[in-house]
Amino acid sequence: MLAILFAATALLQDVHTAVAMLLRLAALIMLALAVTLTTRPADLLEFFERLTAPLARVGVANPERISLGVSLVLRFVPEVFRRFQEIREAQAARGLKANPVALLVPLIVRTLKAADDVADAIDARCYPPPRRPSGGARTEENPT
Amino acid sequence: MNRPQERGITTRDVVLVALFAAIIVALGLVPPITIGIVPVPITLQTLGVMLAGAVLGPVRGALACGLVVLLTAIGLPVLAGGRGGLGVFAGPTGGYLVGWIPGALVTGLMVKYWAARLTRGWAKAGAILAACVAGGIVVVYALGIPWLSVSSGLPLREAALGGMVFVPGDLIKAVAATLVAHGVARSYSMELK
Amino acid sequence: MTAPAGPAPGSAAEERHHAAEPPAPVIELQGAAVGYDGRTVLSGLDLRLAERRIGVIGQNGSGKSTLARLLNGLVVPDQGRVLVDGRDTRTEGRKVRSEVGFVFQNPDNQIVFPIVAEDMAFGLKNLGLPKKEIPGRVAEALESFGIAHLAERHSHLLSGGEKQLVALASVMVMRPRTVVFDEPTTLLDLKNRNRIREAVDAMAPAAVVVTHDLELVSGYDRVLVVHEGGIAFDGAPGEAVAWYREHCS
Repeated sequence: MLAILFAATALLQDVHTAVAMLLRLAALIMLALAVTLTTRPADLLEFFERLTAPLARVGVANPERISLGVSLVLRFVPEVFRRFQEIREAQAARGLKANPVALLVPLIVRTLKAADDVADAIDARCYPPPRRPSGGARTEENPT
Repeated sequence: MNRPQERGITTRDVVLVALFAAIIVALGLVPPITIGIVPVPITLQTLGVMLAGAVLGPVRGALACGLVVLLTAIGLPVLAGGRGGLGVFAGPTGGYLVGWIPGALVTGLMVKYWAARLTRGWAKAGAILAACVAGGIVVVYALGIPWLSVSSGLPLREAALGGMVFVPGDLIKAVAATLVAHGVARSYSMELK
Repeated sequence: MTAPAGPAPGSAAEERHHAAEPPAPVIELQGAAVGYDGRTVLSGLDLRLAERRIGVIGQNGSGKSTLARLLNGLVVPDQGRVLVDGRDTRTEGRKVRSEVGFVFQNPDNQIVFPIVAEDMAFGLKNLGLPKKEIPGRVAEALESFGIAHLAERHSHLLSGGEKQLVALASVMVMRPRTVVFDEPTTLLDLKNRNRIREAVDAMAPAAVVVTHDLELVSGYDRVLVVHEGGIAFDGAPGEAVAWYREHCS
């Protein structure tokens, strides 16, 4: 992306402007990177949870659910990718060329079906946890 | 299985959102595909964004994208190319990334309230394609290009021209997304939320 | 690697172990029926389950998986009701599920956290256990299945047999009074099937095992045969298996 921008700017305006643009972008990115690299993901997540806590009290965002969501993604990305590779290998073994559509349909269908079982397994272990006793009564779920 | 339709966000919704977010992340791990007519190799990740809206519906699709954005924000390398961290938001692609959320929302709304109600095959497919283009391209670019202009200091027109190079690839993705959404709906019918 | 899940038979430890067995809850189905998409999956179920080891066998599609899910309230009957120690699963589902554990057929869909120890802690957090007690309970549960070494392992790197043991441990750590199993051995190879069978046999809480592995239930107290949405046989394992073989194979 950066290379394309540089080329486009250099062509349309001049190299000086292109370089200036790159430096400015780089500075912004460095600043943001500095925050990311010095903070552990778990801490950043906790920071976001605390940021959204007031939203939770209003009933808009639920930090508990967000936390579960993040864990679920981290848990299942390797499995989804592995399944993707299995499907691709199975198709190659049958002599079919790499076809993203034929790959994605079974992948998504299988994932949707698994979702029912995963949800059951979560409910079976008494999710959600009790709200922290912070003085208020348990708020109702916010229907969407 | 005896599953009543529950209002509000259920455990199943949380799982669907998270699993789809996992699909979007996994798609980023697939190397970009080079197609002759397209100037830039296309990554599959934004295909996942269009599908999030088309398969899960507006709210869950947007939440799935939101989850990926959150993971990026906390520093995990979930974007294509192993990118992640707050640096992405400051960089040229920040707007595109954040644009995924309203993009999936728009795609989902159009599929749920328009495409899903059509009965003839061709009309339905056309509507889904329009939904993918509207959400996955128009909305995403509407956020991506101004953000790019601001963060790079380029005037809007130059930023727009630079961004346009990705449009042919994204159009192909929209067609693919339509085919996939159709295929999925045929094998497994699910309500759109 | 075999996992001796339980003390040696005849030992003093075994006596203590059995003394520590929680009393099995009484699960009653009263006129329970479940339908889906206009067809009846289960109907006219009137059962009183109180034995320590109950087997439920039946062909695919007989409704036995739905029956399993009625027992802990994951599925609520359309007609009639299900009571666990007098608690209606419709209104007190959460309390029921804190006492009735559930182990699913596919452990991949049951382990929901990226690291084993985190997944073990999940149920305890949901029960509201104080944070400082959780690591101890997790370690204890992993030890009892001989998988303490898997605590920090990434979930997706576990083998099939390890996954099923972790899934079982993550339920047992919550100290349920009974555990319902939905086809615990179907996806496993022979070695792991034996491992799970030993683990189930030795566990302290009561168990209701839904399976079509007839050997698994051969030593149980009571076996039900589910056939075409109803209970076709209810009695001793030998006779139940014989009935099944005659009518369902």
